[in-house]
Amino acid sequence: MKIAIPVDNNLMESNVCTSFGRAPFFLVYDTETKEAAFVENTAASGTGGAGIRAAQIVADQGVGALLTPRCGQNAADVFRSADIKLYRTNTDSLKDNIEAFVKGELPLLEDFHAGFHGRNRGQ
Amino acid sequence: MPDFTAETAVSKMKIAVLSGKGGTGKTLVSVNLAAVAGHSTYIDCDVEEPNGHLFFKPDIAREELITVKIPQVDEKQCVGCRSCVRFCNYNALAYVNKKLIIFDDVCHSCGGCVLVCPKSALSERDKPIGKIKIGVSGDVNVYTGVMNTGEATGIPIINRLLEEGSAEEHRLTFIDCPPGSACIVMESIKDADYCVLVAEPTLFGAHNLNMVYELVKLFDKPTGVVLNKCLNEDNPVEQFCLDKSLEILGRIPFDHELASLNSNAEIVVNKKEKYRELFIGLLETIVGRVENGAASHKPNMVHGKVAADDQEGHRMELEQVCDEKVYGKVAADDQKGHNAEQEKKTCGENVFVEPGEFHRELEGACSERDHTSSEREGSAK
Repeated sequence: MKIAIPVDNNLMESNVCTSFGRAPFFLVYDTETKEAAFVENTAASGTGGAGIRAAQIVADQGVGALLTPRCGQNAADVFRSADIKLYRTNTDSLKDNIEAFVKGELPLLEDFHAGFHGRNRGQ
Repeated sequence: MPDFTAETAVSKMKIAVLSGKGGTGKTLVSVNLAAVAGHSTYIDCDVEEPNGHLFFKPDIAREELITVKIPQVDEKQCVGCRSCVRFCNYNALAYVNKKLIIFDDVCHSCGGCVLVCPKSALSERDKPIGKIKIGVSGDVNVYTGVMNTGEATGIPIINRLLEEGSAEEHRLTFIDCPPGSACIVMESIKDADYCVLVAEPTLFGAHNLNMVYELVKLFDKPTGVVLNKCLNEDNPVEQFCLDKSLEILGRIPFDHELASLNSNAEIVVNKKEKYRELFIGLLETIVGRVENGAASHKPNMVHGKVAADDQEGHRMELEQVCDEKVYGKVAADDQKGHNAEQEKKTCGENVFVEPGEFHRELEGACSERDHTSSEREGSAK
């Protein structure tokens, strides 16, 4: 199965990114062939709706699951429509999370935040 | 006290009341100014939390639903080309599993997706975001905008409010703006002839005042400051006004009785003669500046020598009304410091740009949603 994970850098040694919509890259990883590819998240620099656009990018990769520490409601709606399951990462390490997912140790992500819209925008 | 029922230049004037954050006294100032003016119009553009109506208790004559256009898709026509998804600058659309998803809350109602759809699969529907209420309270016409909770922007409501509020000519109009300096405030002041900035006597107050001061400067609006909650101690806002050559139009004391009346949704000028006199003095000062500003139409011109002399006269009245300790001599002396020559020089250096042009530029630059919510934090209105 192909899975996606938001990452800080386009390296296998990278950490999982704490944000989904604003992550700079997504790792697209095939758990059977062990093929890995990094996809740039062009939504990260957008002014709004980054989660929706990022979810579109991930969905277009044909993945069956997303491993992420958190996810906004709008992106979660896109994933639900796309039949992509969400799992909650349990450490910062990219490799440890892939291993845990393969062993079936990652829990499903079921609580979504309403988004950070309007926060930290100043005046 | 001028007669505002007459058809004079002043009776057409629109005076916007602004502040950098909520709870500084915009509603206190605009409600009481409208009340002492009589034959006036009060427009509450603070659509997230309108509360001017609590004071005026108007008889509502008319309500109007305000809607925005949101796209809807005819799935039979949609071929999944994603032209709309690519076009949407706000990412309000996604296409997955052969289905278009539309995020109403993210949509900015630009209508672009409908235009770019090659199959005419998208059409627009009306989505209610709030309403305007038009009512009467004595001889004050009261216009109130109410935005539904959770909506992203109240700008369409404000536009309609200002349109309706301007329909009846020859009424001195007071616009109670939303707090802060975001797009929603720009929309509220765009047609104002004069901006009254209300500030609290703290460092925080000076900081927030600076935000709105910079905004009105961009719009090239004649401006003055009302100091609210004044105590008998150093006021950092006084220094700010001095530094920026901003005129202090009046001072409202930190007064238990006034606060208590206001908290009980009373219009203070209708309750106590001393408050009526205070607001009449303030109104006369503002009207004088509006007339002056209309003649010169440059913000710095209103700080001329004539203005400073007028100011002294009013201050004497104010001092009689309120505690002398609050209304110190410092400000009157400060005002004298500005001489007309200096002012002329400053004005000569100003680059004059049509306010309308500025507004369009700002609209273009401001692609984000309104951000008033963060400015409301910690504000008890």
